[in-house]
Amino acid sequence: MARYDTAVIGGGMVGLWSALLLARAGQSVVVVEAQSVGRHASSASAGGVRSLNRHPAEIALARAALPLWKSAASDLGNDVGFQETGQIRVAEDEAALVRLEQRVEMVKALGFTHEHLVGTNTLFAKEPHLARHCLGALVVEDDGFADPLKTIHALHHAARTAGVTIMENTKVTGLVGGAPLIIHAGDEIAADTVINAAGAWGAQVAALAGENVNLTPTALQMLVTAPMAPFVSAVMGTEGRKLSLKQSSAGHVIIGGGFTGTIDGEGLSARPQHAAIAQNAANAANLFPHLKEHRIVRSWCGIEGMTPDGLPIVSPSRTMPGLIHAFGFCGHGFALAPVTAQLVQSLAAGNTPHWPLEPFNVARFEAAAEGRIDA
Amino acid sequence: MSDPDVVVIGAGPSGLAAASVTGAAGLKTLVLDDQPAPGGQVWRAAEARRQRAFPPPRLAYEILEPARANATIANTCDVIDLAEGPSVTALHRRTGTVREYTPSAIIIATGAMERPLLIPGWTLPGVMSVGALQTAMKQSSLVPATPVALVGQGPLLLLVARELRKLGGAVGIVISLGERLPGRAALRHLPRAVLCDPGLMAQGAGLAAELAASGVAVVRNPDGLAIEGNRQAERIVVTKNGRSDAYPAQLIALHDGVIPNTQLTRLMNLDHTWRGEDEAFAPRIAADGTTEHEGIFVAGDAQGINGAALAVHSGRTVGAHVAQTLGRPAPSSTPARQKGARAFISALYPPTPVTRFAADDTVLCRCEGVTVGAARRAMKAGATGPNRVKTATRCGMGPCQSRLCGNALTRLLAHELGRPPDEIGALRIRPPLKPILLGDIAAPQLAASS
Repeated sequence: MARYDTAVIGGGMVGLWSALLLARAGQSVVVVEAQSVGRHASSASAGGVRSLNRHPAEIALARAALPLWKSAASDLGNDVGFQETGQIRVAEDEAALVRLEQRVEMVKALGFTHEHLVGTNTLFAKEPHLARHCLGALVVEDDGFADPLKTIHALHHAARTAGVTIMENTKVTGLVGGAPLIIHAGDEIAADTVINAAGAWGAQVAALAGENVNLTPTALQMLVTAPMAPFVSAVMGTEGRKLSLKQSSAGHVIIGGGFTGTIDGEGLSARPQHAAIAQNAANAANLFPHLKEHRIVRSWCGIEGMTPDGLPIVSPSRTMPGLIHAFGFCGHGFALAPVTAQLVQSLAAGNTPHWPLEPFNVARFEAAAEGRIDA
Repeated sequence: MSDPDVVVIGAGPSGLAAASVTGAAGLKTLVLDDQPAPGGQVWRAAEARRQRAFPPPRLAYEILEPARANATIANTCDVIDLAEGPSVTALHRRTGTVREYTPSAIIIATGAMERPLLIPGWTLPGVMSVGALQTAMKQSSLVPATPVALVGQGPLLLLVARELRKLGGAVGIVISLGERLPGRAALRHLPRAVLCDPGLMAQGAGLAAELAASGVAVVRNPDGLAIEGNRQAERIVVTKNGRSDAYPAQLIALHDGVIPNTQLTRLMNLDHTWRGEDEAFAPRIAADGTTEHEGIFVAGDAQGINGAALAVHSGRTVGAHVAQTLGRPAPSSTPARQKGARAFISALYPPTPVTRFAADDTVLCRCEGVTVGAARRAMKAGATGPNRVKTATRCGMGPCQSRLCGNALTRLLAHELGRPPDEIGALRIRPPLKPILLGDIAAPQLAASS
């Protein structure tokens, strides 16, 4: 039986980055991936590196991730396409503007200063092609975006270089507690620590350890246009409507925002839906009307796990010592991956993490099921 | 029109034949077709060409007229999505309107497309496919002013050589990938081909004899081939028996036979299997067109390459089956016709191995500028399938949705990794099937977040 210090279930952003850090710290590490590395949420991601408009529980993590993204290319040894472009969330009506003002106050009260409101003069000076009905915006200057495909390839390469064993097309069918833990995946794999980084399939892995997690697999959808002249610098979103929009250095406009496609029968692949493409396109054209004259060339989907409270599970297992969960990032895990890897590393070492992880504890679902937390 | 009972995608031989059967059976039938007029690639612009030189064969009108009478044919219409249900979403380009249809049955009759032929320099201006050249001649009566170099092999290449010369153009040179006489593999199929489809065989022999008698220079079975030029094709360099010759050519048309167009069947995730004689994937389909999705059927060359006459037969068979499935009386299908000359044609023009002429710096994916060498590097770094090469290199991510590179990429992977194409698989196809203006696809109302 193959024996490792740590086995990581799931070869996405979180799994690969965690494996990399653990291997660099001297551990023997295997990544067990059911399909192929980065197949779903990781490579289908919009690639947003965003601290803007985060859930309060995630703000500190998102801020801590930014310097890790700035150094990611040199750290991983390959380009990840990171650009510090800023992120902007516009208000398209008065009610939205009020909500953004409340948001700024709330963030300030938590002790953060990275989000600020701008009026129309500043906004249109920053983004001259933005539709003029916009009334203001929330801005984070040092946010940006990275290229998910480049990032996955850089991570894959760095992990292999660091000595991580990567097993693709290998589905985990059983998990047995003890010292060591035993993973059933065709052959048996023994490991002192097991990381559940199985994304949308994280609840299935948790169930193998007898743990109940409420996770809904969801196909998040993206669109891309043909290349066009540069017209937008920041990553754009809009308050109250689903949208994320950015332009790559090659000129393609990448449009997403949480619209969903359909998951195929066996749950292993997904495809965009016409109606959702149409709605996503409408939201994009409302901010940049000239986009109507450009062509959408492609759309795609990746399957992501959504929790009821929109927060991920980053937590030791309650039922199986040695098992650590890091999954269910609800469509905004890309930016958090490097900092999540650090959290996984400290949890694996039995250290107290830098940041409070209570909001991400797996116990919250069981508590909700028992009626102790008002969902 | 109100929602149709049957939507046929493609107005070529099989689509028109299917539509005339379902329409005659009393089912409201709508044919969606991307071209300006019905006829498909092979009978392109049949109605307009009736009085011109080289009109399509009589069969074209025997199929087209009842289809016109029994079905509605919507041309200049791009199918952009297809889904279980079934439903089909199409852009009517003349009006810029997008409509979703939810008929009881959808018949995919999207026919064939040209097999990619990777020759160094194939993306230079001045190089086109033989099919594209024929389109320009058939549809717009455009005849090249300069002599054309025809490079490749197959019946279409011979036919275009004739049409070019008859329409007042000139063939400068033919570079044929095979030998002059059929080899043993082809001869084995010759008797059956002559017996089953004497008309087609006579036509083919006539075309070949005509080319031989025309005095056009023909270079056969080259060892190496490259198109060169500074910003535009200027010459073809042919290497044979260790000797290189450069032939001046400003307009070069390439052809290496045709393969099933699987864009829609791939989008529907149908089970596909590799057909060695076509060097291409085809969906695994029953002869009556049934697929694993209820209400979705496939007819004609989209099932596998058999040519126009058999595509008509397939269209009728599938049309009758659809009518019966929907509870309408339909003509019982005629006995399956022999696949007469196909085996001979496939053996006479065996598909060109993808690495026969391509070098590392030969473009594989024209949309994204990905070379054969870049794909090879991705394989060395661990890419084992086309979708992995795609994410590593952007191969297949451009506006053509991998129509130009998909087949070549699967074959390149199979060759380099020494594995069967069925294991290698194909690039995933996603909507929109054709690039579409964001303004055309955008919903009229904005969507609020939930």
